[in-house]
Order: sequence, then C-alpha cells, then structure tokens
Amino acid sequence: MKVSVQSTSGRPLGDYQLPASATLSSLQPLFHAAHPLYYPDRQRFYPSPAAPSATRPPALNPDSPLSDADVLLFKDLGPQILWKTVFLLEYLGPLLLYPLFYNQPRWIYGDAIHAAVTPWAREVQFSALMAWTFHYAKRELETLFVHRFSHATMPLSNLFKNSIYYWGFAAYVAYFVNHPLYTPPKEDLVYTGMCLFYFMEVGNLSAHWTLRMLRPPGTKVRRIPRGGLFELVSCPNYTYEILSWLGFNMMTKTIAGLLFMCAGAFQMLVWAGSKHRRYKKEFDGKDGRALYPPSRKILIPFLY
Amino acid sequence: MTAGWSIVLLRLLRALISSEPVYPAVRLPLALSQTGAILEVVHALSGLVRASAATTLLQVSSRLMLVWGVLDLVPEVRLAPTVTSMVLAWSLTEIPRYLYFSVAAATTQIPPGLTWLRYSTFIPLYPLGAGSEAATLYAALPYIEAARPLSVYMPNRVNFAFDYYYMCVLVLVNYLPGLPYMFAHMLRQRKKYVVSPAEKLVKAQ
Repeated sequence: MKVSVQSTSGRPLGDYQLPASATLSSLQPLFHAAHPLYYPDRQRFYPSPAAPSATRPPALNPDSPLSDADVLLFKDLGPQILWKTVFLLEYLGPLLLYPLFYNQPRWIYGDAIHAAVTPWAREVQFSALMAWTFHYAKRELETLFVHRFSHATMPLSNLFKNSIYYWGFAAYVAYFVNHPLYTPPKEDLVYTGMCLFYFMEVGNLSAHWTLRMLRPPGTKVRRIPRGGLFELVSCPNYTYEILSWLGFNMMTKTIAGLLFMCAGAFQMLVWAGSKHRRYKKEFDGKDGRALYPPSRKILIPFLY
Repeated sequence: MTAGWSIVLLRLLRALISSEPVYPAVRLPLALSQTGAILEVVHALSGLVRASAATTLLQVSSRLMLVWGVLDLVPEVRLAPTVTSMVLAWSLTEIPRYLYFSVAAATTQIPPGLTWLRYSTFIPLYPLGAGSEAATLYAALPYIEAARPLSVYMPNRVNFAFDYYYMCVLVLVNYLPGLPYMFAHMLRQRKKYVVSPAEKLVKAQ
C-alpha cells in the first residue's frame, strides 16, 4: 500500500510504499531514510483532519494501523535528548551546588559577615545538607536503576529549562539555609520535620518501585498500579514527594524552601491530573479492558 | 479603558503645551488604567481571550513595575524627560488597542483601518516605550540604591532576604533580551492579522 506524508502546512514530504497491514512503526524508518534529519524519536504523525477547518486529531502512536492512500501530517518535534541524560544532568546541580554553600560560606557570603553561627544552627544546616543530598542522590540512583521510561527522549530545550529550574532553586534555597545569619527553628519542629522527610522519602521510593514492577523490562506496557497509597490516589509518588519537602521546610524554615515546595507541588498537581485522566481513559472497563478504580483520587487521599 | 488612556494622553498633551510637569497631571488616570491591565492577565489565564498569558504577564508586569515600583516609589525620577516619552508611547499604543477590543466585542466587522492601526503602531512606539522604560529605571537606580525601599534583610525568623535594588538591576538587564523577543512576537501577530489576510485577498482575486 501507499501512504503519503505532508507537513502541517501542506508541503508534500513524499510517498511511501509499505507492506499491507503495516503500522506507523514501519513508516518511521522509511521516513528517516528519506529525511535524514528526522530520526524516529523526532517524528510525530497525525491523521489528516476530515475538514480543513476541523481541529487536528490526536497524534498516531507506533502501533497505529495505516491503510492504503492515507495522508499523514508530519510534525518535527525538534532535536531530542534521552530522558535519562536530562534527569542525570538536572539533578547534578542540586547535588553539587548545595554543598558548596555549606562548605565554602566565605566564597558565597564574603568575609564581611562575621556572625557566629550557633552550634544548633550549624547542626540544623548539617541535617538539611544531609536531607537535601539524600534526596538528590536517591533521584540519581533511581534514574539509573529504578525508572523505566515510557518515552526514550524529550526535546533538547527541556534540558535547559529543567536545569535552570533545579540548579537555580538549589542555589536559592542553599543560600538562605546556609547563611551566616540563619535563624534555625525550635528543636521539636526540626526533629518532626526530619522524621516526616525521611519517612516520605521511603514512601516515594516504594511508589517508584511499584511503578517499575508494573512494566516488564524493555517494554512500554502500562498497567493499573495497585497496593499501598496507590489504592487511594493515582500518583502517590508525588504525594510522598510534596510531604517530604514539607518535612524539609519544617526542618529549615525558609521562604525560599517554601517557594520551591509550592512550585514543585503545582507542577506535580498538573502532571498528576493528566496522568489520572490518562489512566481513566485507557482503563475504561469496555471491550475487556480493565476498569480504573472509580474512587481513586489524583493526589490527596479522599479529597482530590 | 480607551477612555482612561485618552484622558492620560489629553492631560499629557495639555501639560506639555502649558509646559507644566507631566507626571502630576497624569498620575491618577495612569495608575488606574495601567493597574486595570492586571485583568488582561486574568483573562489570558482563564482562556477568555486568545492572547498568551506569558507574554501578557511580561508586558503588564514591566509596566506595573514602572508605575508603582519606580514612579510612585522614587519621586526624584518623575521629572525625567523619558517619563514623558514613556507615557506618550503607552497611551498612543493603548488607545487604538482598547478601541480595537471594544469594537471587536461589539461587532464582527472590524474596520480594516483599526486592525492596521492596532498591529502597526507598535513598530515605532514599542522601541520608544520600552527604551523610555529602561531609561527611566536606569535613572532611578541611584536613588533606589541609596534608599533601598521594600528590602528585607537577614536575620529574621523566616530566613528571607530581598534586595529591591538588585531586583531592579535584574529587570533592567532583562530588557535587553526582552525587547527583541516581544518585538518579534508583535511582528508575528502583525503578519497573522494584517499581512496574511491581505495576501489571501490578493490570491483570491
């Protein structure tokens, strides 16, 4: 059969001969051969809309069947980079920058500030350094050994966006927590926060482990996650993560940390919402497909 | 809003003719009209209008910064000549823009002249306005450095510090990439609403 491809603005991008009952995955390497710039991860195809004014239908996935005389619309996703690379580099900032503020206060705050940091303040700063480092070391290790990504790549521009976010916030939070004029909170708040932080980190790891076990190695299979907090919310890994930053903020009490937590929570709320809707759409209980548990919430058990 | 900015423009011109100081004459309508623009960000965020929330926020926040964070806060800078050119550029941009919105809300037939005006006046006025904004901010820097208004210093119980002077420097530096970015954005808009429809008309004939 023959399939032709156009750009989204209607420019012809060639006709392709495919075997009968082929899927999009067989077109992708042929398209790459004809257009060497656009490797498969950089390609996105849409079926052409019914009418010129109609909104563009959702993108095809590699398993979408094609039929003879189909006209597909091609969109360039831009240069791609591995998810793994982005994750490893974006978390490297917090891991390297933060200790700099703790270990070399003279470089950051200058020699002029001769405040005597009390032993208790130094102790809280040390606990914060441990917690922060634990969190990002855990993320690096999870990236290497736990996560199974559903997409291999993302646009290169995300690397810069994400790195600015993580490196920037790491410096911003570290600046205030390790400041020579830092005022630590009371003991009971620090210890409560610390307990909350580490318990939630363990919870976060357990949720990541559950997600890993859902997906057999080397596949992009999606299943309904079960067990633990997954019975109550779709994205307990985010619930744990937000609570873990709440613990960090109880320990350290800075506005900067609070802003970081709110920015992260907002982003996770958006991601969790779309993941929840994807689950509901994919597991609709029709035609032998599993039904997504209807009472399951998005992020906050029983509420949201 | 059209009326608000028209009052700003009229008072500006009257003050110029009678060679009185400009800022006291325009202060109230300017503050009201520009602060009202916060609604535009709300509209963009809520999806009520097609404008992008990010560019609207950038545009409105930089103007608010000038109105409240510089002119209101630093009396010494109010007599600078760049304040006159800035307010002139703002009002000349806003009058056809809000007129365009009002007409668009009332009818589906927008006079092509108005569309042209809305998407063309920025070509001279945007550089004039943004240039004057940056110059006014620059002129205010020494006063802000001396008085340090709105600033918070360590130590305090919430471990927070904020230096308004450095924020102003940061904002000023951001005008450098910001101006070409916004200008390119406006050129794309112009191409979409003014140039392309004209081309289509030519092709159709």
